[in-house]
Amino acid sequence: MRLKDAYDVVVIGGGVIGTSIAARLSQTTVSVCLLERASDLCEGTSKGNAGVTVASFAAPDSLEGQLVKESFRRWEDISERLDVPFARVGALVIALEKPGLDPTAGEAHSRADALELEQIAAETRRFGSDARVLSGSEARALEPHLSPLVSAAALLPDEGIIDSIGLVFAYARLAALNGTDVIRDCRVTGFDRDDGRLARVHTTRGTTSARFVVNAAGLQVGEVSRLASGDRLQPTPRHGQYWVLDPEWESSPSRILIPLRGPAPQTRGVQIVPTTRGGTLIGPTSEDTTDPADTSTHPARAEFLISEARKLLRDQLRPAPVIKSFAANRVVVGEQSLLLRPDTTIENLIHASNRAIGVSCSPALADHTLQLLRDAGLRAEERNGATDQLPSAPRLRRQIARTSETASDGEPAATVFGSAVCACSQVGEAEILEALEGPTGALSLDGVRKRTGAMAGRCQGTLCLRDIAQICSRRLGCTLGELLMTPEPLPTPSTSRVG
Amino acid sequence: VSAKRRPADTILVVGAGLRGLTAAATLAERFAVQVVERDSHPGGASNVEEPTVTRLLQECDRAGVRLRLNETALGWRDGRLVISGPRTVEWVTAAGIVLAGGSRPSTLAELGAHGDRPAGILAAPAAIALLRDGARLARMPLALGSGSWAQAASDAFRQSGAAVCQVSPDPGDRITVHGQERVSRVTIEGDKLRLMIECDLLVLAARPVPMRSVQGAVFAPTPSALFLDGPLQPALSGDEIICRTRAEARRFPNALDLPSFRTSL
Repeated sequence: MRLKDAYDVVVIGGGVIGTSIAARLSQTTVSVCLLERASDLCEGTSKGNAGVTVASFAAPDSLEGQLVKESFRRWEDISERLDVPFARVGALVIALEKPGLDPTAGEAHSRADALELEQIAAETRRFGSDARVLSGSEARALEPHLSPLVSAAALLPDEGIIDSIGLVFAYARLAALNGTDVIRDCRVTGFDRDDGRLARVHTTRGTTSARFVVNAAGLQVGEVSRLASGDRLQPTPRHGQYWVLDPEWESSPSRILIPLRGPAPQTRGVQIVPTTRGGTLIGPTSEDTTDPADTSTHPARAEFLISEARKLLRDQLRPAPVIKSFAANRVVVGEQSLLLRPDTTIENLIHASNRAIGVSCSPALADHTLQLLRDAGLRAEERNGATDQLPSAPRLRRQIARTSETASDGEPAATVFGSAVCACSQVGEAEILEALEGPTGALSLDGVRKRTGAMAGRCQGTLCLRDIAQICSRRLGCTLGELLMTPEPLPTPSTSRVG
Repeated sequence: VSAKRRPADTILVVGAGLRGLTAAATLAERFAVQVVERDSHPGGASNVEEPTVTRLLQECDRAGVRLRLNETALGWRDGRLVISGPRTVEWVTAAGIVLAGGSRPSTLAELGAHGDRPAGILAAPAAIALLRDGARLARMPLALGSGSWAQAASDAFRQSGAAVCQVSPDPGDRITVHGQERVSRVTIEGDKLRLMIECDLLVLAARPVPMRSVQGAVFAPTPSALFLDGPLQPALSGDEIICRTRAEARRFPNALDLPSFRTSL
């Protein structure tokens, strides 16, 4: 897709923040483009998170708290309209007895923990969510795999799990359906200023005029602001590593498990999170780093995650079967976890970024960004004919779940979803083809993996990668070599191979 | 529908390789047997001569085994197997299932590998199939492993003109992948040795494990599931495999001492 000469709003960044804003703006009368510097959307921070929608976990009186409060009741509706898997599973914040303390000290420890859980529950109730504190045995009745050392837990019933990568693509598809130009592989290289305002945006794919610019560039939020000669924003990447466990893990909890006392304050610690695909995530670690491109995983951190998760669970558990580990960098800008405001000197530039709960904030954050733009002079009316719905995806996995109760034995039910391509994740051919469709469609195997979950299961594509590569090559009109050799490897074989 | 076709008399076999066909032929003496095979032809990945497979197929055919090609078994729940075909989804009730999906190399996670997660990492079976399709995949691939997968991948890449490097990591070696966009090198660290190998493709061909993709029949041993999958001793001949498989199938579904497989931390 080509960049047009002019837009009302240029949104920079194809993560959950940028796409949610583009989706919201696309329902109004303004013209919008969304620029992503990577070759696909959802490549930075948004690619690697736990997929949790929180219902508190922010200061209730802060703007971030307000965004959470305005967002958390909307997920069922969003899930339905945008066809993004979501489940309001609830969370338990867990306090543990401290082994080795004498009875008096142990009791004092548990009392202090119980008090803190009461505070968490009270704070959550201020968000309008009905939280309460359970005893250890009540908690174990809900989650049988919890450790006998669990002394109490706060039940947060409104926390949910979502396919957070699917959400980014859904926002982007909705924006594109409503006329937003979504342009990938397009890096912003500079701005022209005119009378203190940004006038033109230069990119690796040409130049366009912009009446307003939204900087939702994630880890590049500081770089974009620097190019605009705007505020000095210096994001620190915070490395977070996760494990993905097999859906067949017997000890998988049905709720999100959060330790009351993690190893690092100011974070939610190492959580155990059921996923919408039936697996379990353990993570994240939390370490400030310097290189935003470093998403490598480390064995020591992997061991740390498992040992932290084990503290919450019964120790006679069977070992955890691992599918993969991954890491991403969160964006830490200053003290606040939320950055959502106009630049202090450039009035038509809005900065939008969030450290840890971008997914959870995104519905209301998009509304607030629209309001900030209106306050700055953008005339954006709700547009008749704009859609707020996506057609539902042809998911074989869903048909299987639906027919498991109703199907007559031995009677084949017709399906339009195609035969199963990826058996581990139960993805059919129709869903692969759909992932390749349209201006926000996948252009690579990794793009298909992100959109469908195919090749992301137990065998990591051993069984299905070849079939999916064939489908992609036919559909995208490229050779298998072009598909699998991208990016091009080294030009010449090196002579000394072993160092 | 004959009396023999009642669900209680049905056994479903997943995989039409050497062991799947052998189990099907053996079980067909006592049960109505259906074999579900994802591929368009039976035989699996076994390196057994054509006549052996043909003989087994004839035996299955005589015993009334139903061969369901181009269909994928996806889940086993409450005594029912869900099977996906080109245009259908079907639930079939059975007294038991036999998992005969063969084996696959370990994944990065199963090898305990860490580091970057760039493009350019393929399991050996996928790489070999893609080379057969005529795809050009790499100039200097690294094949990780020592068994038949590694050998087959190395041979296939050598034939395609690539400069193959083959390394077999020991258990406990730390494997680290490097590369931002695409894999550029792999380090393997043991107690005494540290190898750093430049490559443009990492082919996973080490430590074979059972290929299991039927949800509900992966780890938990149940009396209604027989696992005839996973790596075999390389020294076993086709006839020996058939002989052992027949013995196991004869004890099913009463065999309770089922092998279990899992990759643990």
